[in-house]
Amino acid sequence: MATCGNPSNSSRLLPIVESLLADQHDLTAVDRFAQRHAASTAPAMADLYHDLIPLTRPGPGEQYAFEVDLDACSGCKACVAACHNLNGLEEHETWRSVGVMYGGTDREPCIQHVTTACHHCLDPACLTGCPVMAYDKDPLTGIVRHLDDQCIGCQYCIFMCPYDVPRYSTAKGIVRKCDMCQGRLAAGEPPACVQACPSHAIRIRTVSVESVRSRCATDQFIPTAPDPGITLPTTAFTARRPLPRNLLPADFFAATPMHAHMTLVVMLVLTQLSVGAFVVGHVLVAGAWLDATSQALVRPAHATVGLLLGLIGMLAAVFHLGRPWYAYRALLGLRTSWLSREILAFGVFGGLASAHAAAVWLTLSRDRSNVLADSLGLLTCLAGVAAVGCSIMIYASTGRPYWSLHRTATKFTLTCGVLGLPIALLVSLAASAWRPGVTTAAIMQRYGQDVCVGVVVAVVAKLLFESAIFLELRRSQFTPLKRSAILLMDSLGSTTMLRMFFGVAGGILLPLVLLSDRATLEGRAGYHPLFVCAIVATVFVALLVGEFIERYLFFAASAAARMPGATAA
Amino acid sequence: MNHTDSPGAPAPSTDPEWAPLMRQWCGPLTADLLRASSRFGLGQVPARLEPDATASMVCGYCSTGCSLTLHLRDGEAVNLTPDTSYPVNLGMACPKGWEALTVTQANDRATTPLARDARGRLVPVGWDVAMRLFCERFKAIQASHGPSSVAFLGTGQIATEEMAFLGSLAKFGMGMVHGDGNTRQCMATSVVAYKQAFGFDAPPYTYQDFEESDAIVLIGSNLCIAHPIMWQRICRNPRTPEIIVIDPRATETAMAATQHLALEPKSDLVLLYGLAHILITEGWIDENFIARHTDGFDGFRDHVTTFTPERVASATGIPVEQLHYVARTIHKAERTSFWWTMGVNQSYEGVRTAQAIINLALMTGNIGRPGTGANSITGQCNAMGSRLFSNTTNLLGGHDFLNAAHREKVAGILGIDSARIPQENSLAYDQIMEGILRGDIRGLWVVCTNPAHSWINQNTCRDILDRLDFLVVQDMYHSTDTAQLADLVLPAAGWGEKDGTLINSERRIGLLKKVARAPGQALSDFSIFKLVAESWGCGAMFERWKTPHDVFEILKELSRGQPCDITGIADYRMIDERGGIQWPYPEAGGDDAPQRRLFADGAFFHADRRARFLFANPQEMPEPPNRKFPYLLLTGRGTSSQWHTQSRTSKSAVLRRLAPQEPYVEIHPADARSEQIRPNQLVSLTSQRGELVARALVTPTIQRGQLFMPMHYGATNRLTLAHFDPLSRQPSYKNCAVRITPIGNSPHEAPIP
Repeated sequence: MATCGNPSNSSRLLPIVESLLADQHDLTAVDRFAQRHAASTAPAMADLYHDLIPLTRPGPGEQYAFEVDLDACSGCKACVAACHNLNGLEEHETWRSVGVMYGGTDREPCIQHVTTACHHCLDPACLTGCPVMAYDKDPLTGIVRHLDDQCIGCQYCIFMCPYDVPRYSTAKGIVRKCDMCQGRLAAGEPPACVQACPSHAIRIRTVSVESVRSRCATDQFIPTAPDPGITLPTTAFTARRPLPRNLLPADFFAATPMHAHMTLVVMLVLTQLSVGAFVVGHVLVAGAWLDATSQALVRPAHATVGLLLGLIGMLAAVFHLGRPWYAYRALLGLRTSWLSREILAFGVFGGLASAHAAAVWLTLSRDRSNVLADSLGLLTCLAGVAAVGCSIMIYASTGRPYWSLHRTATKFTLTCGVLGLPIALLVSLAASAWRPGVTTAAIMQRYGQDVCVGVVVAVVAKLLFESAIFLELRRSQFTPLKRSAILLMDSLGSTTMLRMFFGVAGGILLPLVLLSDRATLEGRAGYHPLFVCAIVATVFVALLVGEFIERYLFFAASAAARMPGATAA
Repeated sequence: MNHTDSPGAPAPSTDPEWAPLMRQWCGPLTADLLRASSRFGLGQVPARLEPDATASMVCGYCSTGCSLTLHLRDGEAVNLTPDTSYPVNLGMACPKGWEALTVTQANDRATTPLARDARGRLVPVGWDVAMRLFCERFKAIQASHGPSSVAFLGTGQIATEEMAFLGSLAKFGMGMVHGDGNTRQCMATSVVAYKQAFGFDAPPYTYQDFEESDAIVLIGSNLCIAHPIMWQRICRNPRTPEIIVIDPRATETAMAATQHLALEPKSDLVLLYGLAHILITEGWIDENFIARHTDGFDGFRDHVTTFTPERVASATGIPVEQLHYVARTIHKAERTSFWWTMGVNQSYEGVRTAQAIINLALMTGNIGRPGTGANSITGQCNAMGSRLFSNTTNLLGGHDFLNAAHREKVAGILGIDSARIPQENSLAYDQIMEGILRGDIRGLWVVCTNPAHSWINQNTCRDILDRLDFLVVQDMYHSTDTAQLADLVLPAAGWGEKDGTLINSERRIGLLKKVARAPGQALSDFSIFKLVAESWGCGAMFERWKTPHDVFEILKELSRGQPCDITGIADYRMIDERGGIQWPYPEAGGDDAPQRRLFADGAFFHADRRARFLFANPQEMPEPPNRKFPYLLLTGRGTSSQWHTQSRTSKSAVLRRLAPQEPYVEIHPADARSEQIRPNQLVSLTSQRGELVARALVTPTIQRGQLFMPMHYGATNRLTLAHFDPLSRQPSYKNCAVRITPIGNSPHEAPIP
């Protein structure tokens, strides 16, 4: 009979622990058990799914499309995990998602899960937006495929896709997305999500392009989802009964800040500052504000500072890329992509600005009429304006209401002025320190105070325009713009306050100090030159910080219509 | 790797050499996602993860018991897909199954024993130190307060062999008397209901019954979310069955049903008696079956006479016509199957409710035939193993501690002195907690469960665990709420890192295999028990318990002659080859059919072979909504990607994405309006016992006056009221009174509904 004896001392335990640990790490399942289907290359599931995919390839005017049977989807979400697993995705990467909507009446309440992935649109915005042609719509199957090795990681497709489909991988520096498991389809196997759905709610169908067009023209896609007219998504969501009219996604009222791309914030603000500085500088030069001495003094400084700021801005854009060393590919998409055009325009702007700076420096000794520098200056300005125009179009063409053409154009243009004016003044004042001939007071008198008035006008206009979004709060309908306003008011509220503080302090209060007569008086009656310089520098820095924050909010509050999500996820 | 491997890749470019610099159709990033046709019937798999072998094993989450095919390279798992040939899941899995490997690779895995140091921090120690502490502390407690002053809390989540080892080691080796499992929280009610009604804890069905029913009645079960693969089986039913869902909430399953009875919470017993009343009054009962195979029907008939449709309608909120319609549906269906889950089990009168369901099946002859049965759907992957072999409520193998002959039999098989087998029943979970509160129990060994999150009335539970002189937690993760309170943490290997068997809801014994290496010093629970036995000084008693398979042989012997006789199972390999084997499978006359149900012959397990009609008067809810706490809080499963206290499911980024990360509470639009609560707003929930903050989900799928919160969020059980079914001691999680108030009402957010 076995009984309990005395406890073992711990030293006797060690060999036992060793042997247990060795045993723990010894994997022998393969040797001990038979392999099922060891020799079989045919999928064992083939019988289960043969009616879930088309038997033939699409004909002319046709393509493959997902079809989701909303009645059959019970919300188990196996499709998401199966897609992740069968495609070997990264830890945090998912190509499919499942949202849930609630609604109906007390008598007939309704929960509706919605599984969604890439819609392999007829007019894919990811493809149009891509600057490097890393998207490809297969002419035979209609599958919108991402070419991973072609991608430079600019993530513009993420802005462009209304359905939030492309996923960015920081580790790889590229985006990836659903390819409808085209390799599986080609081999007669259904995509991962289709084969993994326990209730056969997802199928692949061959659809005619015309039927998709007419459906997108007339039908709602899924309640509250983005307008299907933008990209013509091919996925069909079917249900026996019409969905209740009050069906709303669980996260419909959730307002979570969007990802703010800090490098883009820096790039946009600095390039607009640079273009603004050039334009203001050029106007000063071309206009009657400067005498020959002043011009000889400030012109090289303007040319150099404007160029440097622009270059820093463009450099920041390169850091935004996941794979910057392939940035040169970015001109491939000129035909369709505003990003390509922006890159080209800023390239030209940078080139002209450099040439202009060189021309200014090389012709320093000459007199006022410097045709080469003047014309290069004008060309630089035009290229800069065109480049900012491209920047505007990049965001306007995403279709996000907060980034609409007039919103983006107003903000970007005013940024040029809000920053271009004070930098021009600051550069003038700084440059005057090198030459005893021109005094601070003289600059202030000649054009400094006009510039200050310009700053106040631009800043007031910009702050008023930005604040106009809060009118959306009074709207009874919960639109994406209202969601933006709520974001700016609530979760981004303190940032918005900060933005206003820097705008008002730097753009209104401080410039008012400089509008005093004392700014234009020499000697004891006037301000100390250093004081004036310090104020102008503070104005510039405060406005620059304010614009950085404004641009951060531009991204963070850019709510758009979206596919249904889960509860406050 | 060449991109032409992938059938869908575009044709290789014929452009000049510099072309790839501009247009690159293939390369390392493209190759990363290439899929390759694989052997083993798997179809295409990621080429990076192409297996050189496969092994199938059952999933370690819920009681469905799906089989997963592990893709192996050099014997180690690199990926998995659902098993296509297993009779349970037929190639499907829920997200938890798909992500089963991911969660074993979390960085909060316990990789070494941890002991609390003088400054109260858990610090790594060697196994030798851990074992010395374990034995010294527990022995010291036992020496001053008696052997029963140390107890254990086990689980439904480890292998049957491990459960048997834990129960035997604790009770026979270490002299403990009291031990229970978290299975008390999920199926104790069904155990008692079956034992009393059938004479043995025997869920009678096989999953094939889902596919062969004409009417499927689901009571307190959100199958779509809690058991998606069982729902798949209903979807495969070719008989276009009536699906009747009895649930206060309009759940996903209710949406998909043909009839939904949105009854008042905890009025299920009245409803079931009311249905029995109608069936009897209409003569829609199987007199022949009742006479030949049951006992106590007359008493039951008398009992339900007062449950007139009018009374039932007023108590349940279900109109009289609808009650009749349901009864008629049951009557007209040739085969009706009744299924219940936690809505019934987690109730203060759950045993009688489960038995009311059993009564309906018995009186209509809906048992023992295909597509019928009174069927309890279990929760955890091995709750069924625990029911038979955990040596807690039952003596090993479904035996009785109070029965001298049983003790002799078990002692004989184990080769121990029968005097080492306790002659009294173990305290139930709640009584063990009370014992700690009284100071009778001062040492506790918690294995693979997380009471500090999951036990009802959590604040009190944590206070109770704090009173222990010594708390040992044995778990995969050092981060669980309970491990954080422990004096000693023992690092356990998890699913996929050890051998053994699990038993699923339909009594199918499935296999676990070791296909991954446990991190660091972590050991399988089995090995930890062996080590404890050696350290404690009772290694000799478990000399035969060398491997899980050796223990399986012992379990077979213990089952001999019992209703759960599995002596016909030769070995693990046989289980593997057959796609799992349902009990019973006796040595002589074992039935080889892959889908088997019980009671085809009408012979139940009571001595007289008759099933019992058991019933009682419905009781009032102990804490109904009142003026101060006007809402009734229901709790339950949230999504299919969350499991219990989320100690595992929170470790997968994919699973996290599939469930709301913040706690939320469902509230009816009218209630939201009267409480001035906007959709998605933060709200505070308060009960007499605690308080929490959650987000409001305004939806008509919950009835007025009720709120619903998933149990997966740590805070939920701060609110729940500790009350229990008196027969099964199962906690009644789904009814307590709370109040709800909005927090920080922002005027800009969503409109008040």
